[in-house]
Amino acid sequence: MKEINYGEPILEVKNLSISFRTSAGNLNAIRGVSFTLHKGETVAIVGESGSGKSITVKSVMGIESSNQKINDGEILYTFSEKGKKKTVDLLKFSKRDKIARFNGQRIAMIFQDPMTALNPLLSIGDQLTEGMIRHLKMSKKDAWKRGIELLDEVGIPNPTLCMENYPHQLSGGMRQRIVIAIALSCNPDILICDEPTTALDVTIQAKILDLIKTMQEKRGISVIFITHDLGVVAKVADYVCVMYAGKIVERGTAEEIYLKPRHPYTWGLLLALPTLDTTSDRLYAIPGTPPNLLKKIVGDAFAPRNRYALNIDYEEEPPEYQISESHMVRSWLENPQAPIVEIPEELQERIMVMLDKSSAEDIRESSVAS
Amino acid sequence: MTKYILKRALMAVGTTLVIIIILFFLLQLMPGSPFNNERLTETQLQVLYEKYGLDKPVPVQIVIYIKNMLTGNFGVSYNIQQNYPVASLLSTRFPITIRIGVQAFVVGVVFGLILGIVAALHHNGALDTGTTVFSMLGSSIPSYVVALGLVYFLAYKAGLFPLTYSSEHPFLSSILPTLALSIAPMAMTARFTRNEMIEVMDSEYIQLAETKGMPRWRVVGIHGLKNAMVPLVTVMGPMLMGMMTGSTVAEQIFAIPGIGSLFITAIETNDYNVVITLAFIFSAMYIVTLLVIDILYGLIDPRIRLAGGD
Repeated sequence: MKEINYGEPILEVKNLSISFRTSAGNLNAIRGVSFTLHKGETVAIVGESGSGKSITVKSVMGIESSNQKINDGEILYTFSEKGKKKTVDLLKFSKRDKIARFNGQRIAMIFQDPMTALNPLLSIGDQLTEGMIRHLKMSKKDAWKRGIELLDEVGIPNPTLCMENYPHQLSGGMRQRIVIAIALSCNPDILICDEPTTALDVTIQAKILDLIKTMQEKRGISVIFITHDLGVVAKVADYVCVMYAGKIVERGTAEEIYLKPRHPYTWGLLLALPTLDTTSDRLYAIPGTPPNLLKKIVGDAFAPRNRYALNIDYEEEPPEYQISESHMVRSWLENPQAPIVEIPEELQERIMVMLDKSSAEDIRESSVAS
Repeated sequence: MTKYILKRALMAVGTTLVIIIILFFLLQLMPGSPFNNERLTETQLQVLYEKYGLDKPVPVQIVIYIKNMLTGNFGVSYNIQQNYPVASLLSTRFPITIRIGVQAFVVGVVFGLILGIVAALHHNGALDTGTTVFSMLGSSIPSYVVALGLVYFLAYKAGLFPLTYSSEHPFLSSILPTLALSIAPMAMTARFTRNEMIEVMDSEYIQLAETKGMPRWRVVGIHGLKNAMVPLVTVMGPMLMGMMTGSTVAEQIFAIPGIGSLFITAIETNDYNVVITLAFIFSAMYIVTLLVIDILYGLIDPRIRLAGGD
């Protein structure tokens, strides 16, 4: 098992709380989210649509919609400027300042749908070089040259020609590679990936994931990875935050989440993953739908969909239970007074299969090494 | 791009020819003949027909007609100024109508764009509501009401501008008609720009530009406005033509010796040649405007440009 080895924290989201003014009233989208991103590591935020994953990271970048209101919290970003280490609260900056000082040059983002993320009327070269020209003060010619190198680096065949192309001339996979090249162009410390593979073909997904991982290792970037697919997370994440209805319900290292999950919601997500080894012929789905966040939530938001829900789940919100230094669960089941609930049998079986596989891989790897 | 422009230009030429032919047959369909005098004898009629080439077969007549129209030989006026060439009749009036029309169009589009962008950037704010109210009023109040209002307050009461158009002060006296005419295109441009910009500013490529750390002016001006321009250009053609053909009322109010007033007189007095010529010129202008718009599309949107005009 990998040792827990925290790097320096680079981004700390603390007790973030965000609501939206809508015609139907206040929608409490984020209800106290905290997590830490360490240098060179990947934090994955996992959850259903509408759980608030994107909103959390968009507020880091200052690209939230205008009816959004940040009620509480801090986003502490640590960086070095002129050799000095600085920590600032990103929420203290105006949108304009945040964009001018941090976006692109320190924090960059990859979007879900590469078909809509690129401007249809500007050439790839123009979109790729404008950041470098502005932030790195490069000449147009130098930026163009660097652009060709970047396109080559992200695996675009014939990058010189591609610089002249327009988005509509390229496939989805190619466009996502370009979005990645744009994000990396000004050497950011943090890369936010908002479901970067969801809109792509399955065959392309793996390649894009590999590309993000390679780039991260090569450049030592810290990554926040948003997805609803726990299968994708297994390939990229060091830490996983499971988010439900605007709260993080379970947080831990990838191993803790995959091999020792504690929250019934995490169990549900893991069970909903299709596997080749499963014996049942039906794919599990978590029953019910996420709660309406326009209404005040009493107790645990997941309780109505949770077959292990206790009476107290409907009355009082569960506190955070620290299982290990890195593993946190928000569930009354962790309370010493709660009845003992074991991981569902089917999930237990899957975990055993996973353990067998990974230990088999370990043996293979060690035999190769020796 | 060249292929695209050639294709559009060719289509424009084709359309022009079709319009001339339609006009030719419209003339043929008109009741009677140009020589409706009962005292004319058969022989005299024959001589007249020969003189004007009306004895020739129809296809030959069409060719002659197309040639004349394209070389600016529009025939003579029957009633307004007898036997005076229509081309000369138009040459003094046309520049005035075009100048005032273009002035009004430019003023309308520029201010409309500014209003629309400001409103979109303050979506749901006071400026946005103000712009919406203005564009509702601007598109529903007829231009002659605006014109009369301007004349009453700015010319008659305040005495800032002349009451009517005068060729001695062609610019100063064209300010009020320009303003009156520009309200409608301003309102329309503002409304379109606002709606388009709101949609465009909400798109992911704008967010990408923001995550790249691009300054506001670049996000709005380059990434936003360029995308909003595509549908805007579409409405601008008919709007420009509306300025040329729809200025009749304003021309009456300000006593502008332009095309609009001539058009009405010509229809009232059955001056066929003048009516037909004006119809032809307006159509030709329409075709040229649409051609320019097609070319603008190509310049703005690579998807159109690179498709090669298909």
